[in-house]
Amino acid sequence: MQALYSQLLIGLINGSFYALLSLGLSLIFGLLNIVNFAHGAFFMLGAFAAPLLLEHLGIGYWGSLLIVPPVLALGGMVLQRIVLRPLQELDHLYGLLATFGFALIVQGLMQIGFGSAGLPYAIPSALQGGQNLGFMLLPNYRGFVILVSLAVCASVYLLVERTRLGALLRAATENAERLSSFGINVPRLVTLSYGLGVGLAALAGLLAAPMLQVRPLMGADLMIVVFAVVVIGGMGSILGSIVTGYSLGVIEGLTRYFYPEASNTILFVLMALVLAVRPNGLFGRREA
Amino acid sequence: MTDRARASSGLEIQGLHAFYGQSHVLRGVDLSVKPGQLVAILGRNGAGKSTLIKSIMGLIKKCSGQIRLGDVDLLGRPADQIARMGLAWVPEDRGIFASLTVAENLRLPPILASDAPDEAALFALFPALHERLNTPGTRLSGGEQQMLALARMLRTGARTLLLDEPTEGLAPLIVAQIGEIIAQLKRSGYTLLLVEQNLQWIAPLADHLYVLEQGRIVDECASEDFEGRLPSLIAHLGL
Ligand SMILES: Nc1ncnc2c1ncn2[C@@H]1O[C@H](COP(=O)(O)OP(=O)(O)OP(=O)(O)O)[C@@H](O)[C@H]1O
Ligand SMILES: [Mg+2]
Repeated sequence: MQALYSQLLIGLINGSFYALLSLGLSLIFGLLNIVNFAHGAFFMLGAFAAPLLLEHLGIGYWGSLLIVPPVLALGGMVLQRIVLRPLQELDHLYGLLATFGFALIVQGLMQIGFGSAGLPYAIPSALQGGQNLGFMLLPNYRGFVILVSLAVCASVYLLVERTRLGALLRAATENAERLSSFGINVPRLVTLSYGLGVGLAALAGLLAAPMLQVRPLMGADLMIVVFAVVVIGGMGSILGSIVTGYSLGVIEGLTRYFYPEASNTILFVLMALVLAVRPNGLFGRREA
Repeated sequence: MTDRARASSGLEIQGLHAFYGQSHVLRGVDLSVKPGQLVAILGRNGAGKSTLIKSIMGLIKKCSGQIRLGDVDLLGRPADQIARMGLAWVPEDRGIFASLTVAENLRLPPILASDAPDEAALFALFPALHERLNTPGTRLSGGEQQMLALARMLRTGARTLLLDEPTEGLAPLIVAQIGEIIAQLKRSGYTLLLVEQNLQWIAPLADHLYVLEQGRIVDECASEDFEGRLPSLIAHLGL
């Protein structure tokens, strides 16, 4: 039983990252109509920021949590404004290739700068240790990651579904040109949502820094799985990304307990099945 | 908040050409809507009426000629900027967003003028909307969607309004209601440009009629000449 619970916990942790990352991908896909291949690079940069800020500026975990997501979101907005916006009139393939190229460049530079092994980063002192839940030991930091990810996912969901900004985002996803004819500056909205998506990736990276090895390819490796999650959930649905993110993390964890041999492939098998039955994913828009 | 929209501005269009790729849809349109006037564009299906409205709203990429709102040249400006100059429209399909509630659709465009009608005034004009604020926009009936589109347009405080076939596909009772609303807008000094296929309905409301055929204005007349010109208008429209 112990082992089952701990696999469930790992599943929830992984699911937290899947949800945060696929949520950002969905936001970006909704407004830019491109799959953001730069997502893994921003995740990795978010993770690297933690040890680098500590070493060079003496900024600890909590300071980083405050600074890193907004700063990288801003960087993402600059990238969108300078590189992606001029490509928007062309085939979406160009935008997709640009994000892919950006990811390769960033990964390459980080490998030159830090090697492939990467940097260690300690769990913040306030979150060291764990709670004995009776049936299992819950490390504090893992509980923290799950809570933060749930809170952030819920906030983004409410932002999109309940606020004026969210209404604008939904309208732009539905018909951007139409929205602009009602007096809304859609390009600015597009830049903003790219920033929001990147900010979520950076936050996920920062949350991962004390748990995973901080290394240049950490984002690329994780994104392979996240893209499977996104394909299963369907692009562009906010609730869909969140629900599929967590459930697939848990399904993966359960597989690791019941049938460990399949744990690395289960998501891809599910992806193939879903693609065969519902090509737009479980929550996907029909025409996407 | 800016008050650019406060004055009801006229529209002057000269030598307007519009293209979809290679296809040349508007072939030199001249048209004038004086401040406070209601002008109607008539024409058969495919004549280019919606293209004309979209060109004014900045939604047709390939355009040449001149479109002036008051003393501002609109051609080449981004659509959102044009809308914020006090030009609001109702698209042919009403443009209700399916993923937004009635309230969200209504409140989508920015308010442009401090004297824009408040929501109480809008609900007095469109009582059906008030009880449906939280329903998804496309759950409304065709008539209600048209009311929502009209209310959304008026809420901005824009004083120059473009309506693309506001009566299309609606029951006679609703058409009459919309006629009353439009007459009321005209009395309050709004400038209106309507696309319409329903000659009988629009003739008593309009100050001036244009007939568009294959991208050109082929006939026009002022309201005082309607009676005499009716046979030729009917011939042009193939009624
Ligand atoms: N997006 C488009 N791409 C290419 N051609 C188009 C497009 N929209 C309209 N057209 C063509 O342009 C011409 C004018 O179309 P438009 O919609 O302006 O006509 P309309 O007068 O509004 O017709 P209706 O009364 O049916 O609404 C038509 O021949 C139409 O096929
Ligand atoms: Mg039309």
